[in-house]
Amino acid sequence: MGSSGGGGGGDSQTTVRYAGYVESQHQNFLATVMAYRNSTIALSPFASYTDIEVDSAFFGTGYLISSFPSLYDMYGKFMAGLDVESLWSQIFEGTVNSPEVSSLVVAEGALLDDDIETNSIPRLQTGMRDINAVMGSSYVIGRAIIEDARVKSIAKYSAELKYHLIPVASSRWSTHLEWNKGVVGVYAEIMKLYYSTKIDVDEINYSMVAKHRLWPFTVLDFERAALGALQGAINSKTDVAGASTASKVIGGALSGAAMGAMVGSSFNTAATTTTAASSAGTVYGAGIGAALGIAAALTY
Amino acid sequence: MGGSSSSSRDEVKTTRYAPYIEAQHESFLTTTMAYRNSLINNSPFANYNEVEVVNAFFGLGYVISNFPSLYDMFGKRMAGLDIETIWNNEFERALNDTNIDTAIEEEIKLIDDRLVKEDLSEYQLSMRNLNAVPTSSFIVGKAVVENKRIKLIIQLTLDNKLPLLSNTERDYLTRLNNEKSTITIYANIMKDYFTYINMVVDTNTNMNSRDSLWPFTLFSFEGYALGTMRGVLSWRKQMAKRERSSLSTGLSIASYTATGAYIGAEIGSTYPGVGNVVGGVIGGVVGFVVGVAVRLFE
Repeated sequence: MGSSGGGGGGDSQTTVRYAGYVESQHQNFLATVMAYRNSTIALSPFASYTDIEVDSAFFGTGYLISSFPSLYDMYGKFMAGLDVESLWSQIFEGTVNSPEVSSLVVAEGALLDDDIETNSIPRLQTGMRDINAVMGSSYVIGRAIIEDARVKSIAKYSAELKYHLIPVASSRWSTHLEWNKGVVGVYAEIMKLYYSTKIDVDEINYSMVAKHRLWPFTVLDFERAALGALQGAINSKTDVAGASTASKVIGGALSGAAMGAMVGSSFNTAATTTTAASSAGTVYGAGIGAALGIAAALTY
Repeated sequence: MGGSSSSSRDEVKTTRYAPYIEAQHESFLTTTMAYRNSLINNSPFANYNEVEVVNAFFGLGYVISNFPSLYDMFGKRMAGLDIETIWNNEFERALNDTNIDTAIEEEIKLIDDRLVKEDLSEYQLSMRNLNAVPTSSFIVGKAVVENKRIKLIIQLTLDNKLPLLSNTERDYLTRLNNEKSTITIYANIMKDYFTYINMVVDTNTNMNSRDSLWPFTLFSFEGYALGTMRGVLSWRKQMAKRERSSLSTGLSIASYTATGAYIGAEIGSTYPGVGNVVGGVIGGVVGFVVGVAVRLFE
């Protein structure tokens, strides 16, 4: 079963033999292993593996991350480069002097006109007719008093509405700023999720390809061990060549991102400016939690 | 322990053992082979049904690419959302609701009832008693009553509509939060999908490869049996249990603590008198305890 060369005066052979029953059993064993090797070596269980696709899920078919605005671009557009004073003026105008507010005032005036024509004027006219004074100056004064009420009421309505809309405009401004911050925050979270996912999925995709290509060697390794069984070469491993640290990574980066995404989902209602600070805490908390989660998994 | 024979140049060494050992070994090998033969076509992994993830997430016949991409959703629901239009719509919806005008009209009818039946009648009676009906004062007086009524109507309208501005603000925020939640939930669903698809693919292919390698797993045992006299006895076939490093343990507990502090701070901020700090401390302690407990049970 084994041989070695050597000797001083010329070639010599040393043959290591085992008991007959052992050699017979080993021969039979090797034949069986070879038969199974032949039937298994071409049937890689990884042959039908289809790569998991990440980019189309995140960006759509045919698009890449470079097809979308960069994170710095979004940050510049929604935060750093935002003219907050201009935004305030725009929102103030859009709230207090918006076409919707004007329409509301006009509509209220129309409703009031209708009411006056339907109720107030007929009631006044009825009284005047009773006393035969429709042609008198008092009637004109009476109509003027009603008209005066109409004008003042519409003015009051418009003024009070706009006055109450001033704090609303302030609130909207605050909300808009918070919303912009949320847009950039979510964009960053999504990007973080993409990279975590991409890394994990690439790891498993490439691992499967490697396992598939190394499949013959995985099988042959068992035969190698069978050949050397009597020399103590038996292989105790049962895993497949090409196995990666995918499971470790799966439990790491993606779950870390999971934490980040979960935390990032809590957007504070921004109209009340007091919640802005807690939103910032949210982001920091998310980052710390996610980083610790990834680090814990990587050092497992 | 063994024997050897030699000629002038070649040497044959035969490893032998005591007869009772060889007899026992032969019996052992025969039994091992018998079991191998009976088990070799009976893989426990043969009936493994692959865990299905795609159908559960997307439905039969659909894949993730059939659905809008995350960036597409983000563009529609956040980055490209016209929040000014949302505000205007909410404002219109709240203040121009016909139900509000109907309610105000009903209130005006009650005012008219009181005005015509009580105030105006009383005024007319009083003027008649004074014999002042034909005078200009009566006419002006009636106009003043109408004047007062018109102002009352507008005040009533304001009283009804102005409180709705806070509703508009609330609805506006709810709508914005809903848009953001839509994205974050979508991202979480996608994260869950990729987490599970990776795990499931890993598990499925692992089971399939174990099925394919099942004969060789048995051969490994037989190989050990063959070589057992050479001191290669080792029956342990399972992977050694993975153990968490001290650094990982520390970081993991810190992660739980930070997460707990965050959740505590969030909850605390919603309760007046508790606040972020107190909530954060309580949450941090709870997170730490949970982290330690998880490590202990790991």
